[in-house]
Amino acid sequence: MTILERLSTWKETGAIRGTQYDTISAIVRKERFSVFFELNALLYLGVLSLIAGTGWVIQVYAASLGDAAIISCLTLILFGSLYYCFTRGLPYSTAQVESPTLVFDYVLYLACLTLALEIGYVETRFHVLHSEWDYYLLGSAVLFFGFAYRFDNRLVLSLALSTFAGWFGIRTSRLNLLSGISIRGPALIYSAVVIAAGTWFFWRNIKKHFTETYFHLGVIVLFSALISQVIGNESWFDLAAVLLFAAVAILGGVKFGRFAFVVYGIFFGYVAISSQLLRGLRMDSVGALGYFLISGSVVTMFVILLARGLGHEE
Amino acid sequence: MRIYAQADEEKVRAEAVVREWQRSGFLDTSQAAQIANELRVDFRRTNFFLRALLFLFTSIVVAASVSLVITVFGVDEKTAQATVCVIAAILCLGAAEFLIRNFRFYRFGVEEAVAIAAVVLLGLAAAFATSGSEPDELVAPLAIGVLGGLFIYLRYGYLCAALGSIGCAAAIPFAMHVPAEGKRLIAALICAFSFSIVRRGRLQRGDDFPGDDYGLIQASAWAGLYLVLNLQISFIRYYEQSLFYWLTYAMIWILPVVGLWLSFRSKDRPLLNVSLMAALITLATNKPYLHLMRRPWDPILFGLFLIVSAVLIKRWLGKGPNAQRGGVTASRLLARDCQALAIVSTASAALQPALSPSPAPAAKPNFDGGRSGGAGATGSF
Repeated sequence: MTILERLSTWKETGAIRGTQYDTISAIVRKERFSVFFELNALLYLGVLSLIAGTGWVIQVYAASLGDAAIISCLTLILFGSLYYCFTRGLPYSTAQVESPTLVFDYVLYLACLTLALEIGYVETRFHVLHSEWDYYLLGSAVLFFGFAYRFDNRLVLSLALSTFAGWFGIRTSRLNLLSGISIRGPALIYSAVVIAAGTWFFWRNIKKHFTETYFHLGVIVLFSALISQVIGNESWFDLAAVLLFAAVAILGGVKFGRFAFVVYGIFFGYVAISSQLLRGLRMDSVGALGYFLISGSVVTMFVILLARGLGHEE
Repeated sequence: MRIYAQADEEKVRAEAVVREWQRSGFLDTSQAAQIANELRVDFRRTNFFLRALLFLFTSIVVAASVSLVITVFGVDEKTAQATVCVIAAILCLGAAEFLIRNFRFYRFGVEEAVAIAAVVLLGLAAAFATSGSEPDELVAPLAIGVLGGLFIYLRYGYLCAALGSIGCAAAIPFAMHVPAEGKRLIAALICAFSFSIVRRGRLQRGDDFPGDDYGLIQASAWAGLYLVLNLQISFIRYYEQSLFYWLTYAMIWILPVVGLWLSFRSKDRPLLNVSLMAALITLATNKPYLHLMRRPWDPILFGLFLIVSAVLIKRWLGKGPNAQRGGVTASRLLARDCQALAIVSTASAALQPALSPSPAPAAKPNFDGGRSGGAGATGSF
């Protein structure tokens, strides 16, 4: 039985109304076919490519172009983009606001990336803040947070969070678990601040749809930092912390129906315990293989029991 | 052949579609609940995240069990190892049948992992059995992968098995002692053959089960066809500028165009996305193909091209009657579009653009130092 046949049956039995049937069947028959996602993907890739190319041109032709030309061009792009956003943007609301146009979100994203590029160029050329240059990161992050909330832009929020992580000394894109360099302190503070901020905004009913972005980044940074200590420094204290936070992530994930956090808790918890227990053992030894067999079976049984209790809830 | 009843699988897919309509605001909660009740089947299912976890940890258990038997019993001979793998594969297949028949597991992770493990173990057995004995020793394991993957798809309907089967088939020529051009040509023919076989089913069934699966298999075969014909996507970058070289150059332009045409004609989203991706890769690999030097402003032109294209398409569609042309619209229709964008936005935190892609030595001034984050605001230029 096809979906269209089912729709007809539901209409006849009164499960759906005639107008609903008309709308849905048009989509099922592909009389309406959206390329919304594809156009957004083109815009996102376009902005990334544009800004990467601009950085490359500045790198290669900085000497011949001169400071004035580079800064003028970047400032022009920045203010042009911001002018567009402030003149076209819808009024602020604490609830979710749809973008006024398809390109709106990407124009704001371009403005933020251009600002980052310009600040980097100006500081490198003129050393305005000298050794205190990292406060540019904090300033940029605050500004990006402001833009993200003012214009309801999740891309810019992610940019703000990664810039904020940069201020804490964490390279969010290249967390190296085996580097041996401790990033635990700053990472823990960062995670605490990000998760607390996300929770506070949620409680205050301000852009509640942003909450998951805060939690995903905060939790991933938290576990990565702690596991780098467990693997690099054989720290039992950090292992205990991983297990504690893993339990919290699993319970929270189940309670709020956000199962990505259940995955974080189980996966990172398993990696931490395994790295500590298997230290010094060859992976093809009977001990290590026996451990994987038993521990894998235990985790599988646990997840099966969890899944049985939850059904196929999304 | 199929272990699940067709009607049950149709209901599962229909339920997913109804849930999507509810999320998109076309149905209210009570209507969706009433319809979902009607579509209920006795399968034991779970969500994507727990399914992935179950798949991962079941795979760990299977791998550890087989390795443990080989280690504990000191199975050193290749033929004995192959025998262990064959026995384990049979047990895995038996376990998959048992779990599905007795516990009604459906896309639950566990039964998928053991079924896939059966094919991998058979492939390993073939690899052990032919190890060192034949010049093309990888051909047999890959052939097992083709047949095994096909069997798993026909029996259980696992999409990854079908895709793996096509992948193994396309990889066979690369394991054979034939010229590099011949390898790519045979692989391309295999992908084209797979595409043509599946396309018929896709056109007949549309998005109705199993047409939705066929759509993804068809798009993957098209992607495979493109990838084996684009010589710039390779470990070996150097190919002589022969007729074959220029033929592949023509094909990397023709394939995305044909793909876009086919996908718009039948409004086929997976094929559309693959063709779009192929078109972008063609633009990005055009200069290396022609042995032209990459310039710093290339990414700027590329970015502007993408942005302008998107804006012009949006405007053109928007000016049509009811903001659509030929049924294609730039407006969002379903909630999944927004969900996909939300995932991309969150993931973008780890993918902020690098600002120093140039392999060329930098002219003055030299910007050193800097921490990450801030879109590379403090990175080195």
